[in-house]
Amino acid sequence: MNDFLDMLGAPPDDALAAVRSAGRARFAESGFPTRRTEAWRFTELRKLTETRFGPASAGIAGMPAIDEIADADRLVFINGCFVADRSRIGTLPKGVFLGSFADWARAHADEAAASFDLAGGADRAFLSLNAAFATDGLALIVPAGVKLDRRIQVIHIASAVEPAASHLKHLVRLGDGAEAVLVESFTGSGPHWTNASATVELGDDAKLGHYKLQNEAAEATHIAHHAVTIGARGHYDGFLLTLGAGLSRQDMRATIAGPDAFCGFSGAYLLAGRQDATMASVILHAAPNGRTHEVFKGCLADRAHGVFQGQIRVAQAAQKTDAYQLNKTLLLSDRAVMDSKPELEIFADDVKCSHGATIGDLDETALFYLRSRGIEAEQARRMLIEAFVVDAVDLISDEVVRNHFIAAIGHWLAARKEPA
Amino acid sequence: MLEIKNLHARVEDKEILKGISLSVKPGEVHAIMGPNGSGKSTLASVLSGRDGYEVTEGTVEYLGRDLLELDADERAREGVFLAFQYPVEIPGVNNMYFLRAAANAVRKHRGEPELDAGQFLKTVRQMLKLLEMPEALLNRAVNVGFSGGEKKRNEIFQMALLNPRLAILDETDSGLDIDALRQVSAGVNKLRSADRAFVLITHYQRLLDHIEPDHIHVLAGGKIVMSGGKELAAELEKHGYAMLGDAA
Amino acid sequence: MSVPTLDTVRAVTDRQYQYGFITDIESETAPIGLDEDTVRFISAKKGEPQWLLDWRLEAFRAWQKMESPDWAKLQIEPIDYQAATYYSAPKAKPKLNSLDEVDPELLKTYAKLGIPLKEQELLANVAVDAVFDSVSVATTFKGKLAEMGIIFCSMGEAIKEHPELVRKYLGSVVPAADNFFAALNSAVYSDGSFVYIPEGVRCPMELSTYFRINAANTGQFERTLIVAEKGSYVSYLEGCTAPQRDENQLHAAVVELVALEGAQIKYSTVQNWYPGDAEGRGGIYNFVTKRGDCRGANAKISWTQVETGSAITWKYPSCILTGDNSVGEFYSVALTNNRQQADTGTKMIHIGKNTRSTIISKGISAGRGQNTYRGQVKVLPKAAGARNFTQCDSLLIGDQCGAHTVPYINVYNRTARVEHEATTSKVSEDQMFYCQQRGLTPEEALSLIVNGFAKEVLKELPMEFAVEAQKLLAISLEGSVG
Repeated sequence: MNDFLDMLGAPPDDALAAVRSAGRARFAESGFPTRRTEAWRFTELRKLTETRFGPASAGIAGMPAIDEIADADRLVFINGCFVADRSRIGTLPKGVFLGSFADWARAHADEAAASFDLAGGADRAFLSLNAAFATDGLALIVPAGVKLDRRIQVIHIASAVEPAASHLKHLVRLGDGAEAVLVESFTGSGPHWTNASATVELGDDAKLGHYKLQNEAAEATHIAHHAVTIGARGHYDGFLLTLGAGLSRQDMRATIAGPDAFCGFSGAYLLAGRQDATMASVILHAAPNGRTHEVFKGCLADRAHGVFQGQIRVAQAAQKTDAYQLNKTLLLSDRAVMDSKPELEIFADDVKCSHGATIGDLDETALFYLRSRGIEAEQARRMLIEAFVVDAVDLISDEVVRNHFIAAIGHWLAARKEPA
Repeated sequence: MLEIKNLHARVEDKEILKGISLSVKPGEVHAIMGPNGSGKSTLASVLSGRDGYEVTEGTVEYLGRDLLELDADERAREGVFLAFQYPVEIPGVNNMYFLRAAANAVRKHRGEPELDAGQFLKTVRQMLKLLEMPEALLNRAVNVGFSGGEKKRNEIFQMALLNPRLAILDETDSGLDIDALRQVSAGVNKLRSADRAFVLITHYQRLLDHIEPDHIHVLAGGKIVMSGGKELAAELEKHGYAMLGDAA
Repeated sequence: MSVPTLDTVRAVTDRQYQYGFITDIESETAPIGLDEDTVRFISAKKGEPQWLLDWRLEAFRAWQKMESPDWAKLQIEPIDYQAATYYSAPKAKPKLNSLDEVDPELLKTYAKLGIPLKEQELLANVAVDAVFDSVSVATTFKGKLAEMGIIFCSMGEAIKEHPELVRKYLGSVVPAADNFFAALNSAVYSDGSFVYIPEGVRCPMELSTYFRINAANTGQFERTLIVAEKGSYVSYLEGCTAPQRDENQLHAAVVELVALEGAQIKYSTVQNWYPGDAEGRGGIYNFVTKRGDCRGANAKISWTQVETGSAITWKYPSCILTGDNSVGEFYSVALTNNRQQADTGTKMIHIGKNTRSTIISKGISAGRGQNTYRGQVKVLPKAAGARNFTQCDSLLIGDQCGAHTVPYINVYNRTARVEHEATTSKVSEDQMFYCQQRGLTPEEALSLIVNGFAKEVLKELPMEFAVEAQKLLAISLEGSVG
């Protein structure tokens, strides 16, 4: 494991030296999770663990076109580093910090250090690595009562010619009653490995829309961990659209910490070639009267492999919980494989919890119906796939973002020739 | 227009159609009647190209082409329309979006310009008016949450929109109350024309009170056992399918 | 629920499982502990052929290298395998002269279950009179079965009388080293049942009938093997609704089913082992491996289980759907009360084309009970057209219990269709109130609601057991309203 650490280069030289060394030590102890680790049993990490990743370079040659979202503050990160001159941040309300995590950490070293997860263990290997190496990321600190009226778009561009890694650390902290909408996108080229960790804290009555489009290069690896805490009456609306990366794993650990809170966490995935994507979530209801709504829908073409591991835990204190979880997958090829493990763990009696999962091919009768109306088989399939997947995207409450994501799905479908 | 000769077809290992011959000319309305299990719906499925039906013998010629050679969607673009007995619900696919995709597929095939959303809406509204149907149907997902009557009317509406040469109505009257039956029939009658042919598949004579056929064929045991003019319907009504006796 | 009803019902909470025979009758036992010599001792005692001893030893060696599974959601005190005895010759239970000598609490339970008097005598081990001679009845059944070519005997007898059949099928569904408990069972199993149904024969009776009369002299490590030849049918029922106590805390049975082309096996279980006291002390650990193989086309295996007993239940009756068009079914009701823990479910492995499986699981948690459904549906690449439907429902009674649903779904074939649905709910106050308003006691109301919840499964049980199982659910829930 020390070899792997050494390969990744020297830790950033900053005020977080204690975090860095603790992260290194935790990783050296635990190593990577294996398929015997229950939460990782369907994720094949060998492609990552057997690659010799160097540190990512600070800049890249040429700037790819950026798909801008209207009326948004924009932050651009290239290979894990904030690029101020590509970013555009308008005037912010008093007390709001929006910018580079590294910048913020310089003035708030203790708070920054406390935001890293140093619990260790194979299950958290990537968090340990993140603590050891995270260079930069987004910091968004919104004081109580402040509602940001512009969306925040965070664009990550990762590019590598030889295998290289960058480690991102995000901290999003909304005070009581604060509101924001955050849209992240990940794109790039080459065998780059992104290891991102986001800590999101919502105070009482706070509201966050958090939408992520992962569209990294086919050779890329994308590992991301989201730790979300939601206060009383807080509202978290999260969405993951997964289109890219050869190997990806996105983890969500959400805790409903205060009563009457809402956690929406949904996603869509469209995978082809030999893509391998895991979407894993643990949503913990620790307080009463909370609501979770989780819907993941996707399609797998060619030899793609999809994994959904979703757990909803309801603690004894969380009476009157209402939780719903659904995972539906279309298999579009004979060699595509889906592993789904929706899971409920319930320790309170006065709850309404349900989950469902389906895996199967497109509905032949629907396909025939469309074809009998003259629609070509390929187009008919595309229509049905789109309808199937967009059903999940419709859960995004922000209309602009919703349309942005639907368009990305449209591009994916248009670029693909579906065999009839 | 449609020439069926000695058509045999089976589903899995079971032979259902055992030598059907039928000739349909433009402008004609043919009714195919028969008891349950006689092969009526199988005939509709074979003509529209549904998977799982294997033609073992015979030919079907449509406008001078071998119909059986064509895929289901090609047949539709060539003007063969099937009004389904059980229209399928397609969650998530907006009815309007679906109709435009279908209409444009047919138009494109005919070398006609495709319609944009605005033009299409205009056409649709005209058609709705002609068929006296509510616009609300358009904004829902295809057939989802439609009543039985609404589903059948949606089928007739699609038929009007796609302007087929040969329309096959599979038990369109089943499950309709008398008002809905009248509406659906009125729709069909408005669409009758000199260059369009209809094949009505029905178990009951009552549909033929509203849509007057030129020819009636009785299907039993996978064969046409009796053919005649519209007077045949009344006779069947009076004596029931039992009158077929051994022929069935 | 209102406070008065709570009090009313708390009154019965203390009612305990008051059944037990503690015997001091000397028996020929193996020395305490487990090593190869123990295995040799057991095999020699049973006069087994060399191949079987070798098979046992192989299992034992594999077991030594294995670790007790810890993935199930169970809290278990470590078991000291060296502290137990692995063989004792069948013990005679003390004979009582009449039902008057039987613990009245036990008789009450029998009465509640509606068990006929004669059977009560048998179950309570009262010496039966000539009118109802279990041996003669059993012999009559056996004769009738033998006429049809059906073999139904103990494993020990089968190894002597039909060694070729046993050798062909033993371990062919659950290999000797399949898992920790199956390996242990293979090494030291004492006895069990063997059933063989010849080609085309429909077994004319529920094998339970005979089984129940022949007394539930179930050992600690039972081994059951059922083989249904082409086109045959058999319905087998194990266990009984009457409470059973056993001084062996660990029970690790293995059941293997083989259904050849077109054969059907229906296997029903009612498990009511001693669950321990209200704190869970002294209850049975029930770690069972049950698996059926639909080895031919159009075969069907159906598992139905009602699990109300044991401190800890760990079992996943599974179907390997090898033959094309074969069908697997799993219907389960698992009820945990007090400190009981159940981790149960099934595996449906679709291998052949157009294979179908249905899973209906109803978990009921009361008191401090923990109930987990853990299941797997796997569709392998060649299983074109495979279908699965899974419905898992959990019912919670009281706020100290837990209900968990852990399905694994792995699909390697696009033409498969797999559907899983699960819900969790509690017995609603509205439902209880409605029933009470119509004059039912809270216990009656709860029983009604719980039985309604479990209905889909109970209807799969053989008729006479369905009625008893309903009552069993009600009895097992006593003291849990509140």
